Amino acid sequence: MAFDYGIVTALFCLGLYCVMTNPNLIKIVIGINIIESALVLFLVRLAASPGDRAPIHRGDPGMQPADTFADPILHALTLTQIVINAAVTAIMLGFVIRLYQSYRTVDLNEIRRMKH
Amino acid sequence: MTHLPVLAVIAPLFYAFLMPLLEYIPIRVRRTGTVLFAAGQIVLVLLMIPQVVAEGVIEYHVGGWVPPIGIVLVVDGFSLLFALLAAVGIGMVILYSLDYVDRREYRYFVLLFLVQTGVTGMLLTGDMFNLYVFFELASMASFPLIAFAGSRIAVEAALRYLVYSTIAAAFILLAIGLVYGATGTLNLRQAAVGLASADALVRSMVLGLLLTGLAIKVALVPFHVWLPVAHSTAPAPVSALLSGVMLKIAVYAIVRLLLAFGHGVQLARLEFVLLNLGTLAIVVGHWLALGQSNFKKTLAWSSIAHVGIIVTGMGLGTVQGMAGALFHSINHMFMKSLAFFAVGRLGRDRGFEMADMKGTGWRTPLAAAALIASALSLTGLPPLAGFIGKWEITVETLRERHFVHAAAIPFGTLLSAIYLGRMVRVVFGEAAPGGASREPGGLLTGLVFVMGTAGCLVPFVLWDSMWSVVLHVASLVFV
Repeated sequence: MAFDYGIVTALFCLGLYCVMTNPNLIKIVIGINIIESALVLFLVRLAASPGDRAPIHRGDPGMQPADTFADPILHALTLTQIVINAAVTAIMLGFVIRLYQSYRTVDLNEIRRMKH
Repeated sequence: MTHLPVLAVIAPLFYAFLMPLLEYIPIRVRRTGTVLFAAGQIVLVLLMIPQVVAEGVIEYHVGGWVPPIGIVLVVDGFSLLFALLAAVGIGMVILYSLDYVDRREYRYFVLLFLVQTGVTGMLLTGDMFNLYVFFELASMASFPLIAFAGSRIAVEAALRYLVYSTIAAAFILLAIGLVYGATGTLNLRQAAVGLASADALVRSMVLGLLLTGLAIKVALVPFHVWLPVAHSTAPAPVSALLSGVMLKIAVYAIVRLLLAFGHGVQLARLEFVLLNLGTLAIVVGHWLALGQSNFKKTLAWSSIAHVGIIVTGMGLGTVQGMAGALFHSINHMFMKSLAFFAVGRLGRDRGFEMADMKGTGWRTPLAAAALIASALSLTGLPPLAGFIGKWEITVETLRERHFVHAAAIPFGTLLSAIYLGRMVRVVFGEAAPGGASREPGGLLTGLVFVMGTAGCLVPFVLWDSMWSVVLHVASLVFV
């Protein structure tokens, strides 16, 4: 269990590292997406433990009274988070394209040099 | 059951999607309609006041679903105060934008009303995931607004703000996930109660993550890098929106998430951190504002300092300190918006560098008068509103015996007197070549200047009654 959350933490830090150290705008976008993936994994992992059933209460003949269910609320949050992630990525790429059109590069160092 | 809370959230959403259709009707009708929308939002918030005063809190179950399952909107005095602040602030921005924005108009207003949806939703919700989603909606709609002019500097600033803001949101969502994992609820009040008995490690992680995320969102000093560029390259009304409203809703999130979840054992340590970060922001913000030659950048750095004052007030951990912080939030919304509106009007045609601004005051006297009013208020001269927040927070800091922190506020005031005085002097400097012919300002712009100036004057006149209201609202936070 600690292992799963360890992966989430590692992904989150990897994304953060990627965003903070890279001068390449596309790689920054990728870094943000890695962070968001870590969040999605975190929410999904939080929703269910091994052995949980899908949260469908009717029409499942093999259901036992002692069964535990995955948490559907967290699944709803995950979906919302994926949508937000898509919107953020779209806006971000829009800005990057705009910058590329005016500077002809996606390298932040070169952009900074061109401004002066 | 009154439907006002949900109306206040969905009305701006409705306006946002109505705007593209209004493109097909005559411009005068469209403009009148937009003004009415802005006024309607203020009225919606005002209509909630009687019930909140009578009952203390309005709980609205969206779609009729009762809490553990349904989503609930909670309007108490605290959220109502901020909702009113946001409605008035965004209302002024809308009025001003009608004169200021002259191309791709409806796209601009779609985004602006989406910001309003996010802001209102965030202030009225009682569910922490909703709070996160609405906060994201408000931020997401504000990025294209910053880049609206399309210049590459503005796009770069918007991209930088986007990256910082998204990372901050990631920290906040991680904390919300942890809270849900520990308490099994998304309801803010139940979660705060449940978290009090949670594992100490989880609590520390939640508070650490929230502190990092929200510090980026309100631009506390080590995390402020995005603010000066974003606030200074945006169109003037958007700068006013960002400084006046967006920073205040981040302050609201600090109270609703950070202070509520920190309630109990760790609150004292948390407040110690806020107090010191706030004071650092005051000194750094004012100091760096002094070195800027761009007017809007100066105002942006000054926003960092004023948020510092607000956070210092909150970090005191007393009802008076919190009340001072709330009062200063309201006043800062009025005076910083007014300052951005005035500077926007003065430098609209030529730019916001000191050289461009020289002598512009003679051409647009009303804007220059508004700049003087806001500068005096931001400095904190007694007959104006800015004085009250600074005074109450300084007195309370002294009462709590944090003498170094108390000294930071007058020191910052001194610095701000220098750079704001310099701004006023430049505006009335010798007229640049090109003559001093007067330009008529738009009617709505004039109205906004009058509203903003009134916002800088009225709180001082009504000091006692407003203070007692704010004090009561602040005491709700500590229940």
